[in-house]
Amino acid sequence: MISSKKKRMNAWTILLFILPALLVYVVYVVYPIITTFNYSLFDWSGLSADTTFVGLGNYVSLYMDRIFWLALQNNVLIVMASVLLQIPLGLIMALILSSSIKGRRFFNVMFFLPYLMSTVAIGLLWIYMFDPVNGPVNQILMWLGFSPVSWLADPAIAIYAVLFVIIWQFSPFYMILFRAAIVGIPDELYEAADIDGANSKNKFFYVTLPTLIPTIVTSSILAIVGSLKAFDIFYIMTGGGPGHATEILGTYMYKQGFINFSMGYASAIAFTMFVIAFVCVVIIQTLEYLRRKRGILS
Amino acid sequence: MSLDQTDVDFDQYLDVALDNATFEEEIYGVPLGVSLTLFFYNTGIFEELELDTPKDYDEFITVVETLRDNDYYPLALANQTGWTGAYYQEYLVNRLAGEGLYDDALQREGAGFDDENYVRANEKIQDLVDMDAFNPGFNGIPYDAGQGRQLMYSEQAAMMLITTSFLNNVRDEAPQYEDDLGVFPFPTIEGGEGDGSNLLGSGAPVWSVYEDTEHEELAIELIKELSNEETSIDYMDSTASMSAYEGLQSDDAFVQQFIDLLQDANYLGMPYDQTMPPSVAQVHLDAAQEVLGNTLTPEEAADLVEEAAQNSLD
Repeated sequence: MISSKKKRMNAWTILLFILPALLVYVVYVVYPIITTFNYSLFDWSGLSADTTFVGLGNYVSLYMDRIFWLALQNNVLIVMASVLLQIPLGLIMALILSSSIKGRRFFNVMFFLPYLMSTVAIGLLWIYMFDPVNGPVNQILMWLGFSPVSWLADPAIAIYAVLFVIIWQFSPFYMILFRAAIVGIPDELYEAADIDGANSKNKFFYVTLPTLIPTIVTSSILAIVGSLKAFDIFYIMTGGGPGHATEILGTYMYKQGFINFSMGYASAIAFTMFVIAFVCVVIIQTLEYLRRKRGILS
Repeated sequence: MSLDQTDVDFDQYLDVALDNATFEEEIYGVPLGVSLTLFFYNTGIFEELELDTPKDYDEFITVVETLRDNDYYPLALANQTGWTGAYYQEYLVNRLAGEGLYDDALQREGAGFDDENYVRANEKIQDLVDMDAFNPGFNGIPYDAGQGRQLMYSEQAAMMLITTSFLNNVRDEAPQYEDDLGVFPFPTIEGGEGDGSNLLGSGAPVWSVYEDTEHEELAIELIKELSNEETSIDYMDSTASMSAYEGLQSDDAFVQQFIDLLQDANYLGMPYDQTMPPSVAQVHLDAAQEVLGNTLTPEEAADLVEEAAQNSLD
């Protein structure tokens, strides 16, 4: 048995070891979240020293703000696209790379390339690809006999054009996660499945997929949180326009904070984004906890 | 801080440039440069189709139709950020109602941004869109990425309403295009109250002095130095743009043409998004973009800007 004195010594040692990380975490994560909430209670331009306490006034305006709800809707669309398209695509690419097809190395480089480029470069690249007059995408469409599409200028289409680019850019990231997880699956499981007479479809659904559940959970958390705080690619490709057709919480927060100089209102948007992301993560973690407890699929 | 004649000899500078540094009768800065917003056009295409530069809006529409019928994009527009398209509305309002309307609407004196002339300007813009005057998909093209200018360089488009900084872009990006480059001011509108010599543009840079400075005299000395005749000549020569200094000439034929236009102008209007409060400016740009995109009616757009102005200015 460990004496209580020794236990206390241990606690101090542990604290000492996590202190550097804890310090960075508190200063750069916890403290800004608290101050953001604090700013969101004020009517403040972000420039002058004048602040007026308005309580939850900013949140009330937010609730009645048509553009906020539009932006939230677009964010939900990104979440859906990320979870339902990006992650499965990442998984498919990882499976292709884990199989024994020819040209695996070539695919490896091809698949991973988009993720290596900076977002600004990707944004500009696709602005040129989607150019309504001289862009390759429309050139190909016209060559195939279709009429050209104003990809980034049509309010009904622009959001999907950007979503396509996001999926193209980030699928390789999930591919890497899945590849690492697939490499970690013990061969014995597949051998046992062979003995039981499983075909490759059975092996995928009863061995590969269940073992990948924890990775899928992690990927989903990353995808959801990443989608909620999306900003850069939208800022570059559409700036939230035309009108507000591709406005997302990130671009709307930026516009309120740094163009309209309503820093209090922008802080309210930022804190709302935090709360939504936090709730999503808690829900996913709870489901995962329950799943483990009941031992389903593991 | 506001400056007076004993600090700076304001007679040296063009009145229209000083107007942009003036607030409630007081002058707050010394101007160095001036840029204008004008129509740049391809002289080669105009010659080929035997077109003259349009003096009034009806002629302008005829030119647009002729160009369109000959498979050119009459007007190049890259409007992702909104300010390039907003120039059309700002010029049309100026030609329809004169320079007073914008100032009155901004000062909330007897007129608003929902004035009928704003609605009429928006209608004229949508007429242009309906007659395919612009390149397709313009609301998705950022001006800075250069695709709008490419349409001009590749002779797919014939005209572009843009600031005089375009001249520098041409010299950097497509020097051979300069031989085909011409410039004309925004046409007048028959029956409109606006003075045809009025120009949109901006006076920048303008130097100002901090109100609470401890070294007022030195600071004023410095800003005078930064805008004196010698600096102004250097500025003109090295940037191929105009200076706010009165009576300077340029060897550069284009710059000289800009100077002549400015000399004849009775009014130089700043872009709205630089003089409106930021939150109204953004609504103005968004609304102008949606008018061009046909997602707002002329009245809806005007009402939106007026509503933002009421919220922020009244």
